[in-house]
Amino acid sequence: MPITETRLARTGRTGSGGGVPFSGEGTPPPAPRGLLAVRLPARRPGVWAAALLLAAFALAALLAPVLTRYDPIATDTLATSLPPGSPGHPLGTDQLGRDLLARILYGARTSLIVGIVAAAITVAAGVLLGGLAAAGPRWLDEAISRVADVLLSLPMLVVVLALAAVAGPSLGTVILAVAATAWMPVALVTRAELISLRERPYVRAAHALGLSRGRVLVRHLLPGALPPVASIAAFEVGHAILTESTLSFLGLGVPPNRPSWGNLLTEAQAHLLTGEWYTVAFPAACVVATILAVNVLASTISGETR
Amino acid sequence: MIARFLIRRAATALAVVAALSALCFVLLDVAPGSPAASILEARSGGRPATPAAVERLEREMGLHDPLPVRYGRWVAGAARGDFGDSYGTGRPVGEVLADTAPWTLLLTAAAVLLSVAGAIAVGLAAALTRRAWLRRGIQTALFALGGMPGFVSALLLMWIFSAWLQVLPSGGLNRPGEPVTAGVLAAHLVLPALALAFGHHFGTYARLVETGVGRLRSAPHVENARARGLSRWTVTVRHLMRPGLVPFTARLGVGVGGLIAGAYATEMIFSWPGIGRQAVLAAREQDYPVLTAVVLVTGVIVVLANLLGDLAVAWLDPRVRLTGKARHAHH
Amino acid sequence: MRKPALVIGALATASALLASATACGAGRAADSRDGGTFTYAIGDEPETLNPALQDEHTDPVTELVFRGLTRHDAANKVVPGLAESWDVSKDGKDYTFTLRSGLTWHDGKPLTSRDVKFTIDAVKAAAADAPRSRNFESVESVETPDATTVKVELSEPFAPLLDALSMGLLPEHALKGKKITDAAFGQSPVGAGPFRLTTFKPGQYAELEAFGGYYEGAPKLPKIVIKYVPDDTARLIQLKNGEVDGAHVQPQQAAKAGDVGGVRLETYPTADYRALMLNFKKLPVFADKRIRQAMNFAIDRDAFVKSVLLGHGSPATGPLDESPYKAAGAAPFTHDAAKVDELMKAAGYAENGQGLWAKGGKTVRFELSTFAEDSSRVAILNVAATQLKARGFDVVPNPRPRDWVRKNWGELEAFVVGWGTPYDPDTSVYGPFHSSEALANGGSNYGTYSNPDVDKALDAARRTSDPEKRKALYGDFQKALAEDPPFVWISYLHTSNAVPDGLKGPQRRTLGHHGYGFFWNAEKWSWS
Repeated sequence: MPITETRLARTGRTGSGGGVPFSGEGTPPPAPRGLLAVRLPARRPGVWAAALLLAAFALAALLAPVLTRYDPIATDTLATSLPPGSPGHPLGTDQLGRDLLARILYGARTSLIVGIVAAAITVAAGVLLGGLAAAGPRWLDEAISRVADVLLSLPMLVVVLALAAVAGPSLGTVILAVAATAWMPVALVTRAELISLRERPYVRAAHALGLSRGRVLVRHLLPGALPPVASIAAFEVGHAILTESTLSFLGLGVPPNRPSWGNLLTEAQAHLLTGEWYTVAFPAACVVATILAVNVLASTISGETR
Repeated sequence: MIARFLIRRAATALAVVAALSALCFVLLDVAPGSPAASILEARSGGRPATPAAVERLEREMGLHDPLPVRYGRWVAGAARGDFGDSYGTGRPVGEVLADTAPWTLLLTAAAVLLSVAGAIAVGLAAALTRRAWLRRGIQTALFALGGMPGFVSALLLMWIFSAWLQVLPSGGLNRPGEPVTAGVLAAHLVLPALALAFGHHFGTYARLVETGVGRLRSAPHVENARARGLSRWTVTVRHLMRPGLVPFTARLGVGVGGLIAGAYATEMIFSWPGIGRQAVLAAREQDYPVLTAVVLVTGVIVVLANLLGDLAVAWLDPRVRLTGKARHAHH
Repeated sequence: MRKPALVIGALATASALLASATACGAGRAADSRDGGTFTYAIGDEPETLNPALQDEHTDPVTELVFRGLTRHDAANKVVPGLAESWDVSKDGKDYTFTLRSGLTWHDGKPLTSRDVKFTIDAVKAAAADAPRSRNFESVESVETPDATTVKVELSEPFAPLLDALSMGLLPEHALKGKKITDAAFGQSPVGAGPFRLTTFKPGQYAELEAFGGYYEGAPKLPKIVIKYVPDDTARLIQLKNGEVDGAHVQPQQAAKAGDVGGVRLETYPTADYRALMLNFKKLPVFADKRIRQAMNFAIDRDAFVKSVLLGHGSPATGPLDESPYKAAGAAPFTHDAAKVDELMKAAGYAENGQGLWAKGGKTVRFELSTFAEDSSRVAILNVAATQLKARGFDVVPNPRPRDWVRKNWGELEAFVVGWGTPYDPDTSVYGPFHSSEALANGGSNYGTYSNPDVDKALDAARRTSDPEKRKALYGDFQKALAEDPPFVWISYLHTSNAVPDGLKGPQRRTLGHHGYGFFWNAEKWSWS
């Protein structure tokens, strides 16, 4: 999973405080997930390519039934294990004669839905909890921060594994497992941003003008906190897709008969050495390309919000 | 000061572990499916068990007791190092852990060494080179690595070195029946350790080294040291690396935890008999005692690693005051 | 700053580590092919090595370590094992066994009739703890007049008893006062078979050594190592690298394994079949046997064998096709679209707009499930669903997690099952097809199939010792089953094992579930 940087990284990056970790007072905000791990100084063509690729994947997923006439789970015993470029099967077929292009297109639906929904839930939950922590009573702040701390000091895959083992494979499980183990950085960033914004003159002025707490929150605080949150949200999509594929690979993810990139990889893994390399290569390329494209965009967003 | 810090951290660690064990136990308890049925089916080679037999075994295993009773029984046992018996094999879980944990520690240690050496090498190269193309190349490579699920890189390594070039063994510790000599073990360790070390998180380490050192390249104290005519070596090691590696080191303790978690998929692929593989198998078989114990042990290792990371930072950077505040460990 | 020495140092260390490891890494198991250890990789690992706790199929290690009173020959006929001979009374209720003389356990203790009595009594008493206890339900008493004589008295005739006694004998001295499920015994068992277990590392391997005290003399292979490698691909790689000498290979890997130098493939039939179980209790639509017959005619079994099994299987049309008790005559079901149409129309169905059979607006709709974790069953599920759908049956393929299935057997509408035994048919047909074994009664007739003719034939075959009469009775049973099919039959599986060219001895035999039984005559194997 992409890695969330500690506030060390944040202070290190901005150089404030002489790069000394946690030497000062208070709690510097933790930096968004994956900020250092995958950040690349964005270049225009790269950003465009990434955006185009994601748009193409999304469109392909949306239009899957139009783009292929094959049912992704219908087998064809007369067309098994066809190599890429076979007539009617541009990407070939698997051992049961299922069209690989159809499976990848329909798989994109599952994988992208998991990614987007999980990221949305993660961000929503994170913003909500972070907002509550910043705005609510002290005990709530304390409780939310403590829980986030405890969860952050556990290896996430272990918790996800336990969750998945309990709930059994389903789309909901994967989405929930991702969200339950990824909301903390969002919450901490939101909380820290809100607290730091609260002290800004314009916010104080708004208060002084007699605006209600809620109005200040909605009109002045949240808009200011959104950019850093947006960059985390982008990284969360990549993180969710990666977690989906890992869970499915371990047999604890999306139900096996539903095409998803992770499931295609799991099924194909056994054929890596029996000549059908393409059953592994195509879905793997899709996963890697999507995560990279998402990360390029996320880097751009976080670059611009700095 | 240090003692107080350690006590505070130990208390936090204990709280984390306690929370984790309770969480695990409750989660596993509400899981669907009956472990008794799993055991009976395993014994009969995959054939379903009769409900009557399942019922009998459940009663015998005490699965009908109320949840607090079962948790209390488990905690009392765990305090004595007794985690119960595996539902799958009937072996004491303590024995299972003793069999598997050392191999995970070995694998993780090797991966950490490789990871640290690689990250420092690559990070320094990127930070100190004046060649833009090299820096850009390293950054792009690290970026690409970040998009690779761990099991994809593991499969790739296995395919290249075991299947195609056939120079490295593909799994296990040794050829069965052979004594596990250092050489045999090293050969079997290479691929899983490489896969684990150069997973998608490797980029973080290298970037931390790069930014940590790069930021200091033209810092006043470094310019000053250069102006005083200190050797390049001295400047690099004492004035650039020691302070420049602080963020990296601070991250490392946490990273070990991440590596142990990453070991789950790696151990599965390379049939490495460690706790990660055990955990996945236990999760699939609903072997509650084993899964709970493994998660707990992993949690303890991670907490300890975090603690060690703090100490290492304190050693590297004397300005750090060990305030005892819990530090965020992010993955 | 150009090249800090540290960079070079770190890189050099890393590459040196890699290089040194590479140097001592691979290398074919040449030593073992020169007359030493035979190392064999298999996917399934048993939970226990106690033969009484395994069902009628025994994993290789248990098979090598243990021996029963009887055993099976190449034709799966019951022949003497540890018992030299036996007598059966006219009424089929009294069995008298004579043990071979001078038998010993692996730990050197003598094996006597007391151990036989202990084994039968303990397994019977274990009831639900030991799957095989059902074989001894009719045992009234076991007596031991002397050290080599055992008298078993039954309350009613039970023809499969001789077959049941091929189960490995348990040593009284090792298990006395312990539960039969004792974990320690299951991990380090003491048997009287041709090989002695010297090391067992769960999750890794089991190491076995030739047992000098074996009653047929010490086996010629000095050592066998069974390595547990669950991943199919990894087994193939290890075979290629020479990390193992032999391996159990899946159909997908079989062709590649055959290409490995110095290795040959032993492919045997098995009695292990796959079929679609139908739940009569859950779906009333299955009550009409014409629908079930039609589905059996809708399946293209040859296509299955060719695609899913890559040729490593044979069509299945009943539960005893690979058994010596197979009924004479042609297969009752073929792939025949016209027959499907005829039967469905006779049942009052007509094709609707989507090409599905419908009656009163209702299609023959059901969910077809199986264990999601079992990839080969999932493959069968998908192909079967596609084939049935193409012939107008509204099948919804949906594999489910094992845990869910275990809790919800009664909720399943249709399920890809695997049954079958190469040994006495009773064990694998009485449970799934006799109405007294219905799920609600705690039996393994999960679909609650019920047919009085089937019940009658199965009961009678159990109580008859005369092989000819039994054969006729199982013939009646198969006829009744073909007329009123409980399952949609798919195929029997073949099993492939790669062994080194230098290994002599493996002999073709119809094997059991999971392809177990490959080591049935390992005591005769040798290096050429």
